[in-house]
Amino acid sequence: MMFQLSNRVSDWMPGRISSRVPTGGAAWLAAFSMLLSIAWAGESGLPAGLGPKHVTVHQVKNVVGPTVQIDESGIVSAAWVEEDKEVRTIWFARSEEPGGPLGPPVRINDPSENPYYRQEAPALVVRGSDVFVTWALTHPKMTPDKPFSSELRLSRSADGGRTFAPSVLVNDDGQVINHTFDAMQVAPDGAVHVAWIDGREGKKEPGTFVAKSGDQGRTFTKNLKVDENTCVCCRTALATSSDGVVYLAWRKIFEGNVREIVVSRSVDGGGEFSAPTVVGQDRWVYPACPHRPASLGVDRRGRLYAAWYTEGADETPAIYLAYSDDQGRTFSAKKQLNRSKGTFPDHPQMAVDHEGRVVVAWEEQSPVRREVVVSRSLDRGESFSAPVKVNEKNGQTPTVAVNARGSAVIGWKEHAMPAHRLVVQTMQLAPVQTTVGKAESAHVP
Amino acid sequence: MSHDRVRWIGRALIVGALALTAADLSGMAGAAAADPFAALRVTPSATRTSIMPFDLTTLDGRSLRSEDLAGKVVLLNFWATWCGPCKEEMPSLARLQTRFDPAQVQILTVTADRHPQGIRQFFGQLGISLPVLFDEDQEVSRTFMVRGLPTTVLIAPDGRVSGRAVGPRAWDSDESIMLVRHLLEEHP
Repeated sequence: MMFQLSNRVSDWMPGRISSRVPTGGAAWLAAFSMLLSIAWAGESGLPAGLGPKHVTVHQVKNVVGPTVQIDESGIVSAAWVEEDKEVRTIWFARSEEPGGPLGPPVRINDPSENPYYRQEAPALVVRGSDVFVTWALTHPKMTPDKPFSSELRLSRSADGGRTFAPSVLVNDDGQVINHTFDAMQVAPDGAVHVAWIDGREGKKEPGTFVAKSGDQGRTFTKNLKVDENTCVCCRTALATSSDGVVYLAWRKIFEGNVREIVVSRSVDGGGEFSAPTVVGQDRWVYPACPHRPASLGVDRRGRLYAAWYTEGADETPAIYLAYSDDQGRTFSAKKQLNRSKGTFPDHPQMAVDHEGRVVVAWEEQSPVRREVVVSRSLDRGESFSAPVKVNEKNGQTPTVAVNARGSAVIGWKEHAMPAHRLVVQTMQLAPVQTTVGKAESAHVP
Repeated sequence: MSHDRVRWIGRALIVGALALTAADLSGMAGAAAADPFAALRVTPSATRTSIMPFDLTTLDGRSLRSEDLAGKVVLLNFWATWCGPCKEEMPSLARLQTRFDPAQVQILTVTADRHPQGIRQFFGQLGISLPVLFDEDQEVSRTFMVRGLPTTVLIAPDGRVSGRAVGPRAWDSDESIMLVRHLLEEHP
């Protein structure tokens, strides 16, 4: 069950608030608290360009997501998972006007399909009227001795998300194991690239696998193993450049349980991938599951950006960004984005537009609060704005996307007992700033 | 664990071994008992803060509240079904529980995964009967600042956090049993 709260804040300036009246007492409470929060946020000095905030309330047991997209006209799309009365459903919704709010949700999975519960949102890509979503299906051949098993499925809509075709299987191994922690990207030539983690080789650590569809997600190529010793629980990330290079990131386990984010590239459209390159040289020794993915983006000039979480050699949680101007062969010095005071940063997600404007959203966690903050760069990752809190209730799992016009959308989940809220908010990025003469550590206001 | 701490532990063990030239294995155990946390690579809590109250639902649908655990040594093991190291260490946690009276020492597993049937099957296969608590919104996980899985939080009988282990451990090892005994003896 979902209903809509919509709160429009013109130019995000205190005193210029107009809000639609939501229905129901809980909704009023939510709206009231939202107004309070807007006042707080205004005092903290939000960056210009933040648009209306749109909230949907989900009276269900659990929600995972959302994943968001924004097209060239500013139409916002989202995909998420709901669980209610032990029934799990993959949903898609799209706004009818630029910036939102989201329209009525459309079920992606067939009712006969039982999505596998995981703590990851579906991967979502929207290209014109084509909508692609990857998600995990509880393995049809799951047996009591293999209780945690899933297939990786792709669902596609050719009518802008109004209807979805029956899902297709991506993994080709037929094994009753988990195939998850997936990423998806659509290259400029229309090829659909999917990456994920599975343990089909039966080794202690699983591998990173990819597959490609040249027919808009109807069929997939033979699966290709890119690497092994993959951290079992850190989601993969994909990006494609305007000249067709496919970049793939994951967290790799090195000798001594050192966990590093690595990047591999394919210059032949996903046929072969290079040996992985370590991005940040973090030297994070961690004998457990971090459960924290990297995020990738590429600008028009081919600069590859990576954002990720690590605790480094000194075991300090931090969010970093680095970039590469040689197709991921080498990376710049990493730049710390968080300025956490009394909180831990977590789960960064990044989007990069053609001009090299970068938006990064992440969580700041304490034992009692979970905030979502956003920072942006207008100079190809050289400097970043101070992180700004955008959530009202406890916020988590931020996601971000940007279109070619520098319109970004940030999505996240808020938990407001007894309901869950999915929030989307747009952000118009200012024109690119020159980086000549700018100190590397500078922060833009 | 910092290098200084590793060096300190190393020196402590060497000194212990030299001092006990005629020592047998029990003597070595005695040296480790000097710092039972270090022996199991458990980070002791510097602040020993009281746990925040929680109320979670068990696999069989019952409610388990933190106050039900008062007076016990509690091992709160945070895990997930997709976490390989978590599943590997689970049998050793079950074996540790068999070494102690549940009225004195309680091992609880906490997961955010909603796979009750799969978890039943997994535990059934391994012959494990540890309680499973569902922390669906990860609220409890967050109050304990769980940053990775598995994480095991050790709680003393006075309801204060004694330490935590990040990553898998051999929970049925001598070092683990000594640590639990240490916590019991600290709070008789």
